[in-house]
Amino acid sequence: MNKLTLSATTLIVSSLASGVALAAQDHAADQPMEKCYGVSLAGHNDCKAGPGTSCAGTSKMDYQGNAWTLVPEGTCTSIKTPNGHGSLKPMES
Amino acid sequence: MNAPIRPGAGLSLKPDYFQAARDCRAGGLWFEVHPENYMVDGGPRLAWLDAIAERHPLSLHGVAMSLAAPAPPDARHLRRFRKLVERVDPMLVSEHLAWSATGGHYYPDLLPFPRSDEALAVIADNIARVQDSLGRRIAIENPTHYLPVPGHRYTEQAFLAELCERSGCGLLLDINNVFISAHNLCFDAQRYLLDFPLSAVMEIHLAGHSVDAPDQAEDTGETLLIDSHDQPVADPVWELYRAVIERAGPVPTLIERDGNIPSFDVLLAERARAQALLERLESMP
Amino acid sequence: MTALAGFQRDFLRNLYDADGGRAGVRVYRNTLLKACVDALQANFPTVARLVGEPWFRAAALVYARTSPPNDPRLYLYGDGFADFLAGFEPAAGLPYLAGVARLDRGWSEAHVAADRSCLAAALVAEQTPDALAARVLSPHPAARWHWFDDQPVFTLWSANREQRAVPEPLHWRGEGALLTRPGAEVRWQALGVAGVFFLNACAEGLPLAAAAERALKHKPGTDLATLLATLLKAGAFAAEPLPHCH
Repeated sequence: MNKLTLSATTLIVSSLASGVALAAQDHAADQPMEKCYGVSLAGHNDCKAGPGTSCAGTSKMDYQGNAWTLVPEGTCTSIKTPNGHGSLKPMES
Repeated sequence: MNAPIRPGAGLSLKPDYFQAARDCRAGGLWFEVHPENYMVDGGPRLAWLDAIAERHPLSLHGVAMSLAAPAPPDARHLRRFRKLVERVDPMLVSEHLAWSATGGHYYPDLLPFPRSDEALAVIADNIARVQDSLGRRIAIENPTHYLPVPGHRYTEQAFLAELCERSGCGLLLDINNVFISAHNLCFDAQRYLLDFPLSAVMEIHLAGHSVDAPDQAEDTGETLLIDSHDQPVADPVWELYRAVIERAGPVPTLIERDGNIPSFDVLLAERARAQALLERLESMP
Repeated sequence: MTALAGFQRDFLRNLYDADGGRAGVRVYRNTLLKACVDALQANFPTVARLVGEPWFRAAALVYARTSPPNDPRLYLYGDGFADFLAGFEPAAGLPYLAGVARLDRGWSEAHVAADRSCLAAALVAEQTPDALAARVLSPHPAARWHWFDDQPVFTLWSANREQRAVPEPLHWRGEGALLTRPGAEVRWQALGVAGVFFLNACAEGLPLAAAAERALKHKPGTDLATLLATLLKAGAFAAEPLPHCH
C-alpha cells in the first residue's frame, strides 16, 4: 500500500469514527411500533385494491382510455421540465 | 339473562377503524380479514392485526386459494397462509368455491365453473390439501353468480354437500350471495336455502348489494344485482337470515362491508341487529 | 387439456381478448380489471396525484390488461409499473414519472418489510476506528434508496406524497432518496449520490472502509462523517441480532 492510499484510508477511518460519534449523540432511530401505525395514508388493499368479493364492479367499465375525457388534472400540469411544460398525451384504449 | 354468546356477530376489519375495533367491548364481537392483506414480513399492518387478535376472535377469509382451478393450491401461498394461521390462531378459516389463478397469474376475482364430476374431484382434493396443510377444517363459501354457466351436473347445494362429505370441510353460507344469485339466475332464494346443508354451516355472511348500472350502449335488458358490499344489508336478506338461523341455530355471523365504509359506530349498530337475533335464539328453550 | 382447464382458458380469453358480451361477463371483466387498477392506484398514490385520477386509471388499465398480477398479495402488484411508465408513449412528456413510481414502490416495500431494530450508533461508537473500518453493516430490511440522474425526482415525489406544492424554482438536476422505517412509519429524506453508492456497497457486503472509498470515488470530497451519521440516524442499518435474543 503506498503512502497516498494509506493516508486516504486513515482519513476514511477517522471520518467514519467521527460520523458514528456524531450519530451517537442523538437518540437511537428506533420508534416503538405502538406509537404510530402509519397505515392511514396509503397502501391498504382491503377494499380499494379489493381482492375477491370486495367491491365487485358493475357491468359498465369503470374507466376507459378516451381521447376526449382524459384532460390531465394532476399537479404535473404546473411542473416545468427543461423541455417546457410536460404534458400527457390523450390515450385511446 | 344469558351471557352473550361467543362468538356472535362479527365485522369486517378495515384499517379505517383499527383502533375503535381493538377497543370495542361489545359482547360476542369478532373480526374477519382477508389473509392476503396480512401476508407481510412485518410492519404496522401486522402489528395491528396482532393487537386486535389479542382482544377479539379473528376469522381468516381467503380470497385467493383458487380451489376450483385444475391444479393444486400454490405451495408458497399455502405456506404464507399457514404462517398467518399459526400467528393469530383464528377461530375460523374460510375460502371460496371459485377459481382465481392459472398459469402463474392471479386474477383478482372469484370466477365461475361448471359443477361437473371433474370439478368435484378437483375441489375436494384441493380442500383436503389446504386442510392438511393448515391442520384444521375450513369453511367453503357459496359464490355469487352473474351468469348461467353451461355444464352443471349438480345443484350448488348438492355439490357443497358432496364436498363436505368427501373432504370433511364445513360451509360458509353467504345469504346475500344467495339473494343476488337468485335474482341474477332467476331462482327462488327461499327454496334454495331449504336445500342447503345447514348442518355443515360454520359461519354466515350478510352484506349489502347494489343494482347494476349498465352502459346504455351495451344494455341488453338484463338488470343484475352486484355483490358490492358497499351498502347496509337489505331487508329481504335479513328476512332470509332470520329464517335460516331459526333452522340452523346461532351460527357466527359476519356483516361484510368493504366499500363506502361508514363510521365504526354505524357498522356496530348494524351488527347489533344480527347479535340480537342470535341472542334471542340462545335464550330460547 | 381437461374440460375444466378448457373452460377456464376460454373464460379468461373472453374477459381479456374481447369486449362487450352479456352483462354478467362484463361484471366479471370489470371486477377483475377494477381490482387491478384499484391496487395500482393504492400502490402508486404519488403518480396518481401527479397525473390526476382519470389519466392514471386509464394508464393503469393498459398495464392491467397486459400484466395481470402474479401474486395474490396485491400490495405487491405493479412490480413492472415504473418500467411500463418509462416506455409509455402518452407519458413521454413527463420523464420523471417512472422515477416517482419507483419511490412509491419503495414506500410499499418499506411499509411491509420485516420488523428489525435499527443499528444504534452508540453500540458502534465503542469500537476502535480500525475495527469500525473493517466492519460490515447490513442495510435495514425496510431501507430503500435510489439515485435519479438529471431529474429532481425526490423533490417531486416528496412534495406530492406529502400533498404539498412543488417548490419553486425547481432545480433540474439529479437527486437521490432514502426511505426507512425505524418504527411503524415509513420516512424519507434526500440522499446524495455518495450515500447511494455507500449503501450499495454495504448491501454487497463490503466493509465500511471499502464502502467509503466507493462513495468517494463517485463523489470526491464527500463528508463521510456527516454521511454515516445521517444514515445511522435515519435507521438505514439493521441491528445485528444478539445471540441471547429470542
